[in-house]
Amino acid sequence: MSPDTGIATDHGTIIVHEVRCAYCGACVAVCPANVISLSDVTLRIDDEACTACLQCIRICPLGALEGPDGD
Amino acid sequence: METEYAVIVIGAGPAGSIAAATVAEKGFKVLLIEKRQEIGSPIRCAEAVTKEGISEFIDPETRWIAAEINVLRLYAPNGSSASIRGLATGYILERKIFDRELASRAANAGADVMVRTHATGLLVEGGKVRGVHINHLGEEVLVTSHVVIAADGVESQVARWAGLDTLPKLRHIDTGVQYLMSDLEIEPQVAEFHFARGIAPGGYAWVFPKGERMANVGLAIGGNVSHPKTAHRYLREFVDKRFPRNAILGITAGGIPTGATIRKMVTDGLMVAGDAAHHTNPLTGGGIVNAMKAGKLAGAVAIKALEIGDCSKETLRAYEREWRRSVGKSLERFYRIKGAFLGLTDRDLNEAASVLAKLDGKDLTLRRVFMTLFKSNPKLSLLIPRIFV
Repeated sequence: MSPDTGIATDHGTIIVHEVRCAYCGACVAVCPANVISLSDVTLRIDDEACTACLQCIRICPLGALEGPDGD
Repeated sequence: METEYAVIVIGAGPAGSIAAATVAEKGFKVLLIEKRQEIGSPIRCAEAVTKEGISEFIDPETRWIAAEINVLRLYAPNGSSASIRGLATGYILERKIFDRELASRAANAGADVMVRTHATGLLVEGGKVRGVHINHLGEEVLVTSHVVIAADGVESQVARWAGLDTLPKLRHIDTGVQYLMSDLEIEPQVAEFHFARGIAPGGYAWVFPKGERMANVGLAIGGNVSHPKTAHRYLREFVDKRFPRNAILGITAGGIPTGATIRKMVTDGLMVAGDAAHHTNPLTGGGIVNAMKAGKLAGAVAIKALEIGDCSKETLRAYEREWRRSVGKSLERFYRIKGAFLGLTDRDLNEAASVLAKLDGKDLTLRRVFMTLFKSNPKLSLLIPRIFV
């Protein structure tokens, strides 16, 4: 896994490109399932509870999150 | 550490620090916690406030004022601009220092303040919020409280744990990116606003000076139109045209609530304030002064609840009522104006700029600006009664 691929969830849905993430919390704000947790410089998606609604991908100001089809 | 407090405030931004200071000044035991390792950093803000708004809370000090603004320059899609003087004067803050100052005031008023301290859950007993599970550098502690004030920002989880709905729809949250840039040819007292669908759909781009040659250069776009082209790609394009040289000292990003304030702001033993409650101005995205107002109000209501020994939602609802009566009313108006703004085409915006340019030098009120704007275009004039009710 290259540094830019980050962590894929068990769903294989959301990929976090940590090198692009500014840890701003916009994705956390719009997550209807409350499965994203943010601290200073870590962003985690609870893959088991993620409903793959992809709202987080749409809001991310830096394009740090990626969906299943490279969205 | 102490594990019993009258009030626990979660989040040491402007809302939280003012709330903590307000309650601590009355002699109640207050704990203010911040998850970051340093209060005020990293900033997530364009840092603009009106002088009028900030003066209610704090006397201006050069330490946290990066620039004084007395001209708002609005750019239309065709590049023409209108300069508005006398409508609003403001400051561009140095939030790192400003936020620290506010938190230090809370500490000086007697509040305990802790950083690197996360809220990890709420203690709920008999349907009432009675405390907060916190984690400080790996140490888990349960701290009890009579009132919790959730000022934990746009990504607020605390209010959701208490069963309040703080989830914004994508069309009710803007997504923004900003560079702190240097070596710029700018006028240090002029705040620029750039409007065009191609520049910032559903929002605007800004240049907010932070000194002679330095500025916050950023933009925010609607959360429903930010994919696949991200806010950052829009900013890159804007910067490539306006300030093509890479002289970037910082980058910040974030979500900005631009819908209506959350419907329920209180529950038994808990109040929500600031960005967490969507107290931002839906049109401008500005939230600093509103957060401070919310913090002060929540603090005042917490004091009253503690004095009468009743921190139920019935008592705390005074906060919600007072907010709606004061600030909430004007935010609803801005929400309607935002709706009208979203309906404008680039052509409407060009026309608006040329009309506004004619007002240059006149004594302006916000009402006069909007009336002039909307009168200029029959389509827009229909919106006037909706906005000025």
